[in-house]
Amino acid sequence: MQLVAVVHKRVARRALIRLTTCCVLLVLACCLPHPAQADPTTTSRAERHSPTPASRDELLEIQRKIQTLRGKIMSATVAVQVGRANGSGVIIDDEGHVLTAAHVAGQPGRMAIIYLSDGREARGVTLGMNQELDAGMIRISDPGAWPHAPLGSSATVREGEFCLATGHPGGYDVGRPPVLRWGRVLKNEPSALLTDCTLVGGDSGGPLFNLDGKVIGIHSRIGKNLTINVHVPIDPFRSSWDRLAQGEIWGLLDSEEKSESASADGASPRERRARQTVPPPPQGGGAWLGVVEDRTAQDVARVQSVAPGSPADLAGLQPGDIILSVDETAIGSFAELQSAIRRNRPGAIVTIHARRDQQVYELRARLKPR
Amino acid sequence: MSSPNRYYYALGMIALGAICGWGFDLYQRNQVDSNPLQFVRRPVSVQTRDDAELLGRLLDQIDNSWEVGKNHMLVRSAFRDVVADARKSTVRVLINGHQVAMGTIVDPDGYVLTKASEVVAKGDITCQLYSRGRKSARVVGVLPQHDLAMLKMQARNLQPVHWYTQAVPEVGSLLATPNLNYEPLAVGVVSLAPQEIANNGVLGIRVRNQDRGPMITDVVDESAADKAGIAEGDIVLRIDDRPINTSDELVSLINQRLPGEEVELFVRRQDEELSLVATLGRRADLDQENSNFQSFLGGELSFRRTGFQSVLQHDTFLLPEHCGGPLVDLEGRVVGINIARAERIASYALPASAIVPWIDGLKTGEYESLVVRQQRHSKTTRE
Repeated sequence: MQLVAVVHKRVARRALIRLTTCCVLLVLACCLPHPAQADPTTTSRAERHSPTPASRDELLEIQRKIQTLRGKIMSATVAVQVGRANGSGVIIDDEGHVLTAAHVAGQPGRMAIIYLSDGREARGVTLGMNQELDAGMIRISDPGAWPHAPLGSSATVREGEFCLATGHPGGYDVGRPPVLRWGRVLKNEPSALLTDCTLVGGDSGGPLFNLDGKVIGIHSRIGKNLTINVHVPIDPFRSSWDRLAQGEIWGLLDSEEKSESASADGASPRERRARQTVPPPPQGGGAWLGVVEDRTAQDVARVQSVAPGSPADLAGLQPGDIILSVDETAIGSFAELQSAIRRNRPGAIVTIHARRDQQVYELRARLKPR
Repeated sequence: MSSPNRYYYALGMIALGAICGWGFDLYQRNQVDSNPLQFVRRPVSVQTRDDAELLGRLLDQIDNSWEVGKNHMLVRSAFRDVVADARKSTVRVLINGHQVAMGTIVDPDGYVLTKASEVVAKGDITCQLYSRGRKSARVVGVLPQHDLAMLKMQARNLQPVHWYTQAVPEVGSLLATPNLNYEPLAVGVVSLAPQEIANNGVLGIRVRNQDRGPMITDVVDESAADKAGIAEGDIVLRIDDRPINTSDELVSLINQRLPGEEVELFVRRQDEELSLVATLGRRADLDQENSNFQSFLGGELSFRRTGFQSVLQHDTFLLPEHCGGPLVDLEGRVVGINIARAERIASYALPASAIVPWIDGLKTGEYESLVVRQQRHSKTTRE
């Protein structure tokens, strides 16, 4: 009996010690800063999203802004005709630079006719274009003073921000002013802005304004749903202004062009080469995503490179992206990413959340066999 | 209890407290932001069964899962005060239990204006009020040029709309389309000042002037002309009772007619004269051009969406069955009636000032003879 009691006591004591250790560790864990607090790049929802209007007074304020801007944004919006292509555009300085879509401008050095909303017609010449983003530029060659709209910045555009779209849907209709549409920014990515300002053929090249009357995007393309209206963000126009103004054409999506345009991010040639050389998919069972680990990253799964044509590439993952979750499983290291991917069968579609430039993106990748 | 045990007990309690604290911290965090990864999209909150029923199809079309979209429940909630009155003057118009249009109560005694081409001669009409009660209704008058029909329900003490006819809202004014619920169905902005929308009935032919009159040189497959039996080489002599001498006369006469209308063509083919009846089509059905195709991206359009003397163009996302109800500005004033879903980018509204002069005549059945014509017309178009 006594022996049994002693054994029990010993077992109990050992259990207690274990429990205590666990508790002490937990207390320590609580004292450590929470990852979300320590990381200044993770912003709260409220900061990232523009506030939703809550009352009629706030709506009246939005309406007042629209009414105030109306005249200015209409006068800067133009119809553009290049050969048989018909589209829209926006004059952005008194030198007569017109921003439009690359697919409206077509080729550098072509003759363009610009129709202003006051009834004037002007001749112009198409300049450079980034075909990958669908960004194009025209310069009015006729002398004159041109009404223009100021450029904004697309990087600071918040999701949920109200915006205005103007353009010439269905083509230029003599006597019809530019047609106004109102909506919100649904998504802001470096290569595209998505809004619920509905667009249609003829709007291409027209401007997207914020409620300060500044140009934040250029209409590019649409999808089946009314909420899929895609605009070229304005920042790439600013950052490649010289190339556009000098009539350069790029972004043809071949690999060499791609590596060149990637140079805008300030990476050294060596770094760029490193990104380009990606090992082939490893052999063996399970599913394959096609990303290479950035070993310099600690406690995060950061992508060093993406295999061309891999599921990761097709989904839009880029070097430098930090993968936060796969199918809602949080990812804290590259090893966790690997095991989360391998759990899936080839052909499965996984939803990946990744952070890039302080923004969180949702991507979908269809995994391939290893 | 021995002293080491007391020590462990105390440590255990501290740890328990810490765990509770940690849990509470997590809970609080989740209150602020339920997902630290900030999912970009979330399903919209549909509150009532009626909401789901009414909005279901619209949500399909607009993919309204965007939590930051202009038609999200939160934004529409901000319009509650705006539509507070007008929603009580709004009805859903159902045919055999399915919604085909909205309606606008114009008289306490049960008179309702709606979109004629969706309602007249389609079946048994029922109206659902904002109180959710349903009443059967009948057509008492039709005004084809505005595509308006007057319905009469057996009802009393309804709340009619208060028309705002002094001015048409300017371009850039925000608008709401009331629903039976507290929130409007959808919101938008005035895109263009009132304009005329020409009729665009088409036959699907090419013509060339010849000495003997306009000769058909080409007939588009499956077009109205093709179905009517019009052939290349036919010379057009008359349309209905109007003699035709040139191709311009022919084209302008056809363009004044509505898609779906019947025209009788008298043509000479070799030595005989033939009478052929064609039901006009619309241009969009003929053209395979990109812009027309694009216009259909994003949802169904109203069958009757042309042939209006003056309509206000706005960008509210609507479906054909959402037309016929009132449209209000931010002051809550009824500025018109939604009369057509016209394009991906456009819905049309008849301004209040174009509606009001016709109301009394429509109520007293002054245009009743037109109902018969309309019934005959819609029967033929359905065949």
